[in-house]
Parts: sequence; structure tokens; C-alpha cells
Amino acid sequence: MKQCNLNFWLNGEQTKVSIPMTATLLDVLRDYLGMTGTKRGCEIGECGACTVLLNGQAVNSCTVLALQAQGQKVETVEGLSEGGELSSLQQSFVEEHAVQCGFCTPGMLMSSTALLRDNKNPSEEDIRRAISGNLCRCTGYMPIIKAIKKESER
Amino acid sequence: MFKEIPRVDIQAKLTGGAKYADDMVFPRMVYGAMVRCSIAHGDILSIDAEEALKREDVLRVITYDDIPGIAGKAKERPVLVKERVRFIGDGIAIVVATSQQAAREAAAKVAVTYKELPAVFNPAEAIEDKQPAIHGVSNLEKVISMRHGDMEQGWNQAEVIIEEDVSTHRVQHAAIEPESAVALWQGDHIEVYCPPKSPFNVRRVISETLGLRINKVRLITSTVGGSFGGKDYDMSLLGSRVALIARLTGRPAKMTYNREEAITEGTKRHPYRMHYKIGAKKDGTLTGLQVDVLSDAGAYLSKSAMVGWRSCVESSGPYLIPNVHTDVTVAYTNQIYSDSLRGFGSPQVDYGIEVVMDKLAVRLDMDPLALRRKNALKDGDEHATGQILSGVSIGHCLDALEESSDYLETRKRITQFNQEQNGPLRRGFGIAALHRGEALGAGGEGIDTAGVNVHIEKDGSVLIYCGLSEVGQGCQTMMVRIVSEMLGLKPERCRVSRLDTDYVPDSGPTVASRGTVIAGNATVMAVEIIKEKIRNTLAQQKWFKKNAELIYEDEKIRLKNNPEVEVSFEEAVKLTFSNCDNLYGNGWWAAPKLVWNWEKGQGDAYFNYVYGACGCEVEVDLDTGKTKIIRFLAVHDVGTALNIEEVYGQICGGVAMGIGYSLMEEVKLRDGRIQNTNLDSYLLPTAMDIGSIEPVILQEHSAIGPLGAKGLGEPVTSIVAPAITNAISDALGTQILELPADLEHVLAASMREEQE
Repeated sequence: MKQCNLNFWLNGEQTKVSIPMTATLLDVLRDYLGMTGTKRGCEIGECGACTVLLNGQAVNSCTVLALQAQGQKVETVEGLSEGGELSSLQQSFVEEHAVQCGFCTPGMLMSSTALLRDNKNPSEEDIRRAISGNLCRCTGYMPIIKAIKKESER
Repeated sequence: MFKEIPRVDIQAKLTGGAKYADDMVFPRMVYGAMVRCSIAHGDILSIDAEEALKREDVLRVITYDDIPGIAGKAKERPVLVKERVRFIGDGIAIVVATSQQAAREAAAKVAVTYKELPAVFNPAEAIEDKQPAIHGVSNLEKVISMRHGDMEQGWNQAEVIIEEDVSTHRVQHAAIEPESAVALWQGDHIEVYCPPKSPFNVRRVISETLGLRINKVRLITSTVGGSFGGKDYDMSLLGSRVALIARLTGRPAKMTYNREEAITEGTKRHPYRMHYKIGAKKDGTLTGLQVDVLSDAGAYLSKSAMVGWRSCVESSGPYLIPNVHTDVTVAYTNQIYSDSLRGFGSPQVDYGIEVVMDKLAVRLDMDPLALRRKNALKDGDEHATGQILSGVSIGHCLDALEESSDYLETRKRITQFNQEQNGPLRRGFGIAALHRGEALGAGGEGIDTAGVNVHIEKDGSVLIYCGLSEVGQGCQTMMVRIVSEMLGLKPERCRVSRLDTDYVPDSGPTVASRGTVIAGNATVMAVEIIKEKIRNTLAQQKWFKKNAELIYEDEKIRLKNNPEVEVSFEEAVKLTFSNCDNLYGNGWWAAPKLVWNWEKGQGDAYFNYVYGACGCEVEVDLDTGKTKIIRFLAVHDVGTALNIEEVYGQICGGVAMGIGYSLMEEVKLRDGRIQNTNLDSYLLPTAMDIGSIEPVILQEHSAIGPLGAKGLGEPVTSIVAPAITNAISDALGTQILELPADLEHVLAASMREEQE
């Protein structure tokens, strides 16, 4: 497999890694950089467990070729809390019990981060739409919707 | 009422720090990929791995002959098949390579030839004479029966009798985490990291596969990314396969299924075909019920008999029916096998009785809620199993449903809405009611036990070890609640250890919504032991008299009669340890003994039942068959809610899963092959599909549960489908009696109604 160098900004840090040309962004994060917070659930862009931000936009990292991130900014769940302190959004997830098994949580957090940066005052419909690409099998979404709403009202 | 506490495992899950099995990597790790059977029934003639083994990155190919122990018990799915394959997905070989991709590519190069045998896919045909037998001589595994009262009398007393065929379909857990496991051979024992629902079953199967005694298998749970009944036998097989790799190569090994594999191999909910005959007097009083169920077990036994038993026991719904006759027939077919899935036989029969009750209500020209209330079980009533019931709260659940739904007004509003429509939209409201046996019941007699160890450390911090899995349901937080309540401590003092089978007693499977009741009671017992030790210490040190009544609150221990006499919890801990004692409590709780007559299907099936009632408003598009959930009210009596927000979340999650079951999820098989093996074609509900889910939580103290709590996980899913289809039927004016109520079925029903 032909190798190439990928240079990008990962959670604000300049990151260099040698990868096969065909690697997806998800492969690179998990298998080459050990950033396992981003989850692998379906590999066809349906479950949203692998959602990361690419230049601020929520994308399924399993359907993005890593080379598309060349020189770009990527944010993952590991970048949300600083020095072990939960961010305000994460705190809202705690308060609303928006986590059960936790497997969809990183993707949910990234999709809602993207939403709240673009839209400071989202309606419930906006929230539902923003996380409609993230499947959750435990919570029935209601606590997650409440958590994002709460965060938008802080 | 308790105030909420945060989940204990939430920090790691929010920061990406929680380690799921696929997140774990060890130096020199090798990876396995499965070669699976591609025909529905036959015998393996040859396995040719030459091409695969030519690759430099492939270490070896493991087949049945390499298994040191046994590949599986009779009728159970084997770790690797010896000769006979029984469904498309049976495991034939494991290719081991230095990377996951290499293993998968090489697995595709392994050539298997078969002698094909005739296959059977329809359970009704499967049990006819001269069909190819999948196990032994017949595909009829078992008939489970319940005989109560006298059917002749039941039909004689009836003024109205109706008969209906009802069916439910095949769905799957679809936890968002696909199965994964890691194993390390440690010279004289195997260490396995995986997400099991039933860690001790997985450990036993691994020990049988490797031919090791149980104490040579150590299973440490990784974070579990959802179970819902899955990750049980599926995980036993995966754990055994990865353990085989580690044992045979001596290197750390990992296997992770992709979504297609998880769906191809993962167990499913039993599809049921049911025939109902129900009799009632004109005033609605039920006189007799006959239920005949045919359950499709698929190619292997798994827990199909136990699932069928629960269905049989619960087939009469939360109603007083003096004459009941139920048979549940369990049949094999050459298809993906069925096993436990949230509800364990309840959702199918709850669907059956609840849609038939609505049909009966129409026939009697009675309101569906009035018909249910008329027949609802009460304290002292005789259940169809012959058991005299106590703690029955179905009446209160129906009251709460009427009130929270503003029942009569809602019906009126919907009628008016429909009258005003010129277009294709119609609204409907449907209800369903539930009783469900708690824990394993007489069907799991002798194994309904659990152990919990509570260790107070020398600095007064608390470490809790439990034999039941945290699968996302909040088991760990539940135990912290109990310990902190009983000892008057802040929850932050407690930490729950990862489940390691080396350090906790075999506590059976994490199933049957039994975690809170069984493990909760074991926790209570562990804390009682600790309290006794503290009492002895304090009495010896002359703080209190031996028989003094003590109160634990605000991190202090006080004398009940004289609260000014107090000692801090930490001081009491110090005193105990300095007195050559310890503060370790080992709690072991066993469910009460139950007596069951298997022949008649009569006796005490469960030590307790829980109750619920649901109401759903839908909007149906008659032109497309599309159903929109407007509002779903879920009334559940949860006993004392140990953590109200977690209860809320569990109800919402269970309802969402039920919405999927009702409207969109279906494992589609053609000649034994699953057609929809990823989430683009197996549809799960999204945040756009669930409408407004509104839990209504009743808290009627349980006489047996810890601090009065009851089990909850499965009841919440079990009566979603009938409430939704009854609502659709209400909108259409014709009864839907099969699942799923997807676009095609609803549209077809709507067109039928139009023609009539």
C-alpha cells in the first residue's frame, strides 16, 4: 500500500503521521494515533459514532479519507475537556443523565458542539435534526435533547 | 423520594477515556477474522486455506481440529463447526494475521466446499413430518404449556368469542458497539477482556473451549457499549475464538466484528405466530383465553425454551381470566438463531393479548380502557398460573394513564381532528397494559442469585465489587446509591470496580431486569455485615451499648435515642481496623424459592410482578402508510426509584427501542440469508422518529426489592408495540395484527379499509 504523510491540526496540536493513502480519518485517529475516543460503529456513515469536526463541521470520519484533512483542523472528543475539567456541554450531559453505555456519546458531543457554535439558540427541532445522524440505542434521545437544550440556555 | 445522583461511570464516557474492547492494544498483538458458512444446511467436505497461508502476514488458520476442549454442547452453536453447518453464518475457521485488514483479506481466500442438505425456513413446515431435522430426529424442540381452569366452562360462559391470528417479526439488539474481544495467554491461564452481558457464562464457555478448569480463565470486562440481551452467547463464542488464537499463538489477540458480521451472527428476537381465542360476557368480563404460539428458534437452542416459558406464563396479560389454555411450541429452522432480546418473550405475547383486547373492545362496543379496567388484576386475584397475587398495581397504572393522557379529552380531540381532515392525515390513540414477572422466576430456579462485595478502605473510602455487568443500565450507580444511603455517606466516597471474574462470585447472567433487585439486595446484605462490624467495634470501645439503635447520616453514626452522641464514620472505620478487624462485607442474595408444576404449567412463576400502562398518539398518512409518533406516555410502577433521572432515561430508551420494533426494524431473510446487514438498510429510530416520549413514574414500594425498588429495563420495551399499533388501528378504523407496522403494512391496511 502506498504510504504518504499527513499533516494536520488535531485538537489544536500540529500532528504528523505516515499513513496508507487509502486510510480513512477514523482509521488514522484510532489505529495510527491511538485516539480511541472516536468510535467505529458501522463504517458506512450511518451510526455517527465516529463523528468529528473537520474545520468546525461535523463529519462521519469513517467516510472521510484522511488525506482530505491535509492541513485542516480536526477536533475530537478528547479535545473537548481541558486539563480534565469537563466542558460546560459535557456538564450538561452529566446533569441530564444523557449517557448510558456511552458508545454514541463522543459522536453526540461533537454533533452538538457543531450545532451550538452555529446556532446559539436552537429549537428542539434544530437539536433533533443536528443529532439525527447519531444513533443512540440506550437513552431514547430525550435526555440528550434536554442536555443540549440546557447548554444552549446557559 | 431519593434525590438524583450522577452516574458513576460518566466522566470517562464523556471524555473518550472509557476503554471499550476494540480500544485496547497490546504489543505484538495479532488479529483474527472469521470464515463463515455460506449455505443454510449441509456438511463441510473440505477447507482449503492454502491461498490464505501464502501471505507473509498470515500466521495460521484455526479450524475445529485445533480446539483443545469442546466446540460446543449438543444443540448449541459451536465455536467452530466440525462438519454440519446449520445456518448462513456458522463459524468454520479463524484466520490469524498481523493486522485486522490482512486477516479479513486472507479469510476471503479460504475456500470451503459443502455437500448441501435440504433446508427449512418456515417453522410451521419445519415441524411437519419428513422435514430435514436440524438437531436429532425432529425440529420440534419443546411445547411449553399452561392449563388453568376449564376451557369448556370458559366458552360456555362467554357471550362473545373472537379468534385472531397475530404475528411478530425478527429484530435484533443493534447495540451501537459491535462485538469485540481481546485475549492474552499468561503461561498457565488465559485473560480475556470483553464486553459481556453474562460474564460467568462467557468464562464457562471459554474454559470448555480451551479445555481448562474455570479458575484458569480470567475475564475482565471492558466498558460495555450496550447489550439489550446481546453479548451473551454471542460473546461466549467470540471470547472463545479470541482465546483460542491467544492460546495457540502465544501472542495477544484481538477480534472485532464489523457491523455486517455483528448482524450476520448476532442473535435475534424470536418471531412468533400466535392464534388467540378469547371469550367475554357482554359487559366485558373475560371468561376464557386460548393461546397457541409457534416460536422460531432458528438453528440452535440457546435460551429459546426459557423465553417460551416466560411467554407462556405471561400470555394472559394483566387480567383476571379464570380459564386459560396456552401452548408455546419451539421449533428449529435453518436461520440465524433467536435468543434473549430485551423483553425475553414478553414483547410478543404482550403484543398478542393487547391487540386482541382492542379487537374485542370494538366487538363489544366498549372503550378499550374500560375493558382493561374491568378485567385488571387486583390483590388476592388468582393469576392464570394459579398464583395468588399481592402488590398488584395495574389499576393505579391505568388510573395514571387516564389522567396523564387526559384520556376522554384526547379521544374527543382526535375524533374532531379526523372529522376536519380533507387530506390523507388521520390521528389515532392507542393503549396497552402490562404485567411482567421480575427476575428469572421458576424458569431459572436455582441460578437467581448474585454476590456483591463492599470494602470499606482504611481511609473510609468505599470500593464495591459486583458480579453483574454494567451494560449501560446504571447498575454501578444503583449500588452506590444503596451503599451511600445505608451508610449515610456521600456518593463520591464510593467507587465501583470493573467486573473481574477473579474477584467476584459467579452471579449469573445480567438479564431479566434482575440487576437492581438481585444485586441491590446483595448490596444491602453486604452493608448489613459492615454495619454489624462497626456496631461491635463501637460497643467494645464503649461508644454505644451493644444493642443500641444506630443512625447513619451525614457521614456520622449517631445514637437513635440520643442523637448528640455521635462518632464520625471515618473514626469508626479507624477504630475497627485498629482492632484487628476489617470492614469487608460479602453479600449473597438468592431469590425466594418457587414451586412450579411443569406438566400443568401451574405454580408460583415469579416472586413478584411489575405493572405498567402505555398510551400513544399517532398521525398516519393514508396515502403513504407513514406513521408519525406524536406522543408516547409510558406509565411504569418502578417501586422506589433509586435514581429518578436514570429511571427516566431507561424508560425513554426502552420506548425508543419499542418504536423501532413497531415501525421500522426488521431482519429480512431470503432463503436463510440476511438481506440487510448494515444500518443503511436495518433502520433504527433516530431523534427525528421518536416524537415526545413522556415517562410517568409511579413509585409503589416493593416488599422484596432493595429499599423498595423494582426491575425496569424490559417492561418498558414490552408494551410499546401494541400501544402504537392500537393507535394506528384507531386512526385507520381497522385492526393491525402483525408487526412491523411499516409503510407497506399500514398502507395495505388503509387500502383494505377503503375497499371495504
